[in-house]
Amino acid sequence: MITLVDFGHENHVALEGALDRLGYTHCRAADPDRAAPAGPVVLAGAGPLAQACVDLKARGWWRELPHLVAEGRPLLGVNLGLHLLAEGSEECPKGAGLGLVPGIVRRLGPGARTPHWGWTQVQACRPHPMLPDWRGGWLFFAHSYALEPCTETLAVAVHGRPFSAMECRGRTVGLQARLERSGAPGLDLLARFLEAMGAEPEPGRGN
Amino acid sequence: MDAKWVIPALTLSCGRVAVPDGADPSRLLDPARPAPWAWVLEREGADGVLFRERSPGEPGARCVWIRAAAAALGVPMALEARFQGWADLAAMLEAGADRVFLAPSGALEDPLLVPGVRAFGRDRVGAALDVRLEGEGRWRVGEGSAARDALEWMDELEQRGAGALLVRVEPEGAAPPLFLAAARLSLTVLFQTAAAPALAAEALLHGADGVVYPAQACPAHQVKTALVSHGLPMRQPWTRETV
Repeated sequence: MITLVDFGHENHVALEGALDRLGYTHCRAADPDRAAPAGPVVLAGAGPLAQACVDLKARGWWRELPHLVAEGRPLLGVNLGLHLLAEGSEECPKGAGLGLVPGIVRRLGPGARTPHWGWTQVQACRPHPMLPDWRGGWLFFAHSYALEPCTETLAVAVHGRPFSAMECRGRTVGLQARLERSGAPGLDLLARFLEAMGAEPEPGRGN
Repeated sequence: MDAKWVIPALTLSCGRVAVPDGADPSRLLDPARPAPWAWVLEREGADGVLFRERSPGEPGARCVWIRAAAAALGVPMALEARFQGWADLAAMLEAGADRVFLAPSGALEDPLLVPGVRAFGRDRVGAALDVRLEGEGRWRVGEGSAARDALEWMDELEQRGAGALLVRVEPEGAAPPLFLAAARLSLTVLFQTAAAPALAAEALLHGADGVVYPAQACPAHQVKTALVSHGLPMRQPWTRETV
């Protein structure tokens, strides 16, 4: 069972539709007590970071997510979710991030259209056990800020400047791309990440 | 590298797709339901789907069709509509629309833009506008005493936080220089055409980020085939079948 962190800043309908098509069972959890006992936890979000931090704290997730990661629970951060996992962000300079993925989130540009709302070519930086044969592809992005790439970055894209499109630290994965809105290639990637995180589609579900 | 958008649009009335005379509805069993359309359009290579709502219908039913279409789609979904208020706008985004475009009105001002951007972010709220050419290089928006220079208004929409603009131009042949002039904007600018979408190449070459066209006109992969011959970047692959 996949747990979707419900903190009021996500388009759950799109993500749930993608998980349904892939055949995964899932539940929304407004607080950690409602999380499934096992399986990946997905922190997906969009919109202003400051309010997202406030709501994540108010619902108990801010404190709980590091514990879950320490226990070995797979965690997938998507879009704003990746920004929350990082150490900090220019969008909210007074507050620290969860620090589960190293690096700082910085504003895109200058000279690039912001928000970056578009289909952009993503390049794999290095082979990774989760995506052994993936070289890159076109994925959908909707964001104004992005994590700075580093030597550990899984994949990068360029919009005004290079930015991290995918990060992986242990069983914690961060995606800037909206895979659930990236067509069939995005759905395929999402399935591969979830499979690598131990999720199994339910036989007979999905299409 | 960013690809140019090719976005088929469907016009809806009370949650039902308005299929125009002469359109070929053979692609669907029920050509009035939005969700199956969304599914088909994605498979035909759409980079996103825009629903243009002419009559909203009952609020609960509205959320139902938006949720169904949003769940069926694997590419971004946008909604152009007039919203009754803050709760209405929020409900549509929470129902699964990735982005809303506030429909244009003669008065231009939309009190929902700024609070919408503040709550949901620039990437989820945009504005639509109807631009008309009045004389050499004079683009105007709005009606009567509210009418004003289109480029100034586009600047102002950007300053107010709009994350994207959906622009109709009358006459459409005047579109390329308008998009060239609008290239200084730092937000996404989409050209909405009522004509053959392949003719949008000039607007795209002059700076528009994408073309929005009536979905019933032709499949998106045909539009892309025409546009790529002009050297315009398109995302690959175009259709689900080629993955």
